[in-house]
Amino acid sequence: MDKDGIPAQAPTWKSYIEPLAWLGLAVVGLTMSAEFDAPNKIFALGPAFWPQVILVGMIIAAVVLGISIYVSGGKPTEDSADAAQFETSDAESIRFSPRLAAIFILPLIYVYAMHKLGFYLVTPFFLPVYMYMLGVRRWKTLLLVTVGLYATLVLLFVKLIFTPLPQGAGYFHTLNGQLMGLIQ
Amino acid sequence: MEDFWNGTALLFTNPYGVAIFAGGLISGLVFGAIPGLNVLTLAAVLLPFTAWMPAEYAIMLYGVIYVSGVYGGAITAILFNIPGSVENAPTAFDGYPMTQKGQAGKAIGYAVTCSAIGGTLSAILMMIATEPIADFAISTFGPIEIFALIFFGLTVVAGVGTSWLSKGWLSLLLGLLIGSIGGDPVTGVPRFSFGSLYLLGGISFIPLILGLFAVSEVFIQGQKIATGAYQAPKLSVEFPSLREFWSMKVAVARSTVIGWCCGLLPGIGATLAAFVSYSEAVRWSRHPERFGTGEPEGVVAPETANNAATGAAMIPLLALGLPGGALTAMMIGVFNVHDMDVGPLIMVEARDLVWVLFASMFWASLAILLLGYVESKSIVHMLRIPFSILAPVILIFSTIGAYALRGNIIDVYTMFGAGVAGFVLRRSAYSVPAIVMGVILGQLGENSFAQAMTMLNYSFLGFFENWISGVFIGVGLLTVAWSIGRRAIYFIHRTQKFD
Repeated sequence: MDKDGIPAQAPTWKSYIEPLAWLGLAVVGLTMSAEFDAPNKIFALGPAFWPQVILVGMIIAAVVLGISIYVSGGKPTEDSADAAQFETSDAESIRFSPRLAAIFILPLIYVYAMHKLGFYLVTPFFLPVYMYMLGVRRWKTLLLVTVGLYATLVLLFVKLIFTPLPQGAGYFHTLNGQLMGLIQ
Repeated sequence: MEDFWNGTALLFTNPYGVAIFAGGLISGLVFGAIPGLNVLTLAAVLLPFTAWMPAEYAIMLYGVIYVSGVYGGAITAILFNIPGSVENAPTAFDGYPMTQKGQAGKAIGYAVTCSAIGGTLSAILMMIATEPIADFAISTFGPIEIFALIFFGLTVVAGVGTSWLSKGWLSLLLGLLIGSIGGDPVTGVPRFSFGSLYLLGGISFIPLILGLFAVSEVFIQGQKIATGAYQAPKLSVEFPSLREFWSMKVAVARSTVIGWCCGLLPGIGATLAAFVSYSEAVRWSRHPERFGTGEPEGVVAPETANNAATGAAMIPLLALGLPGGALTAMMIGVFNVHDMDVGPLIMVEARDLVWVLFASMFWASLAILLLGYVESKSIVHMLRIPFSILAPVILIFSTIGAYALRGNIIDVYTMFGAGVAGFVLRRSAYSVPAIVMGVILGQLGENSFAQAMTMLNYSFLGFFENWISGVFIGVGLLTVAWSIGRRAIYFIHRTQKFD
């Protein structure tokens, strides 16, 4: 885009994926909402009215987004430098790397493992591994932060305010319970 | 005035009272600031112990933690994009971008000062006008007016944090749609629940907010670290100058009034206050496009309003026995533990006690100013901690915060799902603030809408028969027309240039 805000190039078909996705979501939502309505005496407009108004609004906004993309070439509708600062640039494309994948996947593995093995067993492993993935390489830092933070968490949530945290399933549930008993 | 000084004397003439005041202030700040440790947890833990305290100290303790807890949540919202509680979420919209610009000291300075001003003014108003205002507010503001107020607030949200109007609206509508998941508030008919018991109860605010703000931030910064594009935020302890504060006088006054009025409404007080106040700051600003990018008024407005709501929330509580939220409901418990009932007779039967509460909230608001300045100078240095160390800490505290709420692991999955969605949406220039405001105000709004329509016999024009709702709806519609018209003119102008 040049200084006058004139589009430098025409939008490609990929530019229209977003409005089409919104349209798809709204149409699916509207179809589903048809099943909500059951005549009732309490509220004559019915339970589908509120979501249907939202979904119709979504269809209108998606169409407007499509038109905006067509007119502006996929650039914002106001040349606001300030607002653009908040948005992470589309131009900054995500280059795949194993490290990047780990940054996204590790927290999900952590939650799953926490669910199965319990918070107290999994957290001391997650902490150093995630820090390592984010670039901390000094083993002393990894060790000190892990031990210090884990001790603080246990003291605060187990000893002081008795916050219930996931204890895992099966054998691990018993093991975490025993661990907590020891701490308390 | 005599009542006020008597209440103050009861608080501070005994070292025990001073210790409880200071303890309540500091613990409220800490519990308010850390996700998973909200002031409700603190209040619930303390409730049984109040039975062994003299009544005046027990009630004072709750007043102090209420005030300091509301401020405490702003610190993590500003420094790490983790709102301590729902009413601090709008503070993160501009507070965190200010931190990224190297203005963390300024953002915290605004938050401290405005929290103190909002809380103090609110306490003064509470002392002057508890009885008459309670009668007026309760008789005037019903579901019709509340829905109109929420509609009014929503109409400016779409412009926050994005330069695409249509993407702003889509963000807001997505938030409203998420808010409609679960049982319909009137009939309980399941909507978009896919047969899941979890979804039937609706999506909880806390995991959603933690995901959209904290987790998505970890992913965004993590991606930057992985690609070598990460830049640590500049550290600054520079506080706003007196001139800068003075330039916020209108915003502070407006937010105090909004916070105060919203605080009077039982059940939705501080949260509605913060969100509506933020919306109004955007509406009245000469540069609405700057909101969401680190605009100081975006910190001033919600922080003034959510603290102003604290004093106002005491009015329906004390005068009518109507709690404004979970913490004020616990206050009823404290009164009951000491064989007293809140309600119209409380001002006669336990006048001294009520004035102890008023005085404690007033002094707590002023103490926030002092403590906030001292504490803020040191707390900003937390930004020196490398993000690679902070990231897992943020994830773990967010996980605890999401899980501890209901003890449900699905809340944690929801939080991470919201985190991934937040990452994708933020990269595509959608507005996370608009989504959050849509979810929160949408749930409040649908309840009020259903009640209002029943009262109005399903006539939409009925909103204009009442001057309060008529003004709110009318100005809201004009705002939408104005923003669409402005963009349409801009489009036509650009298209002509292109031709």
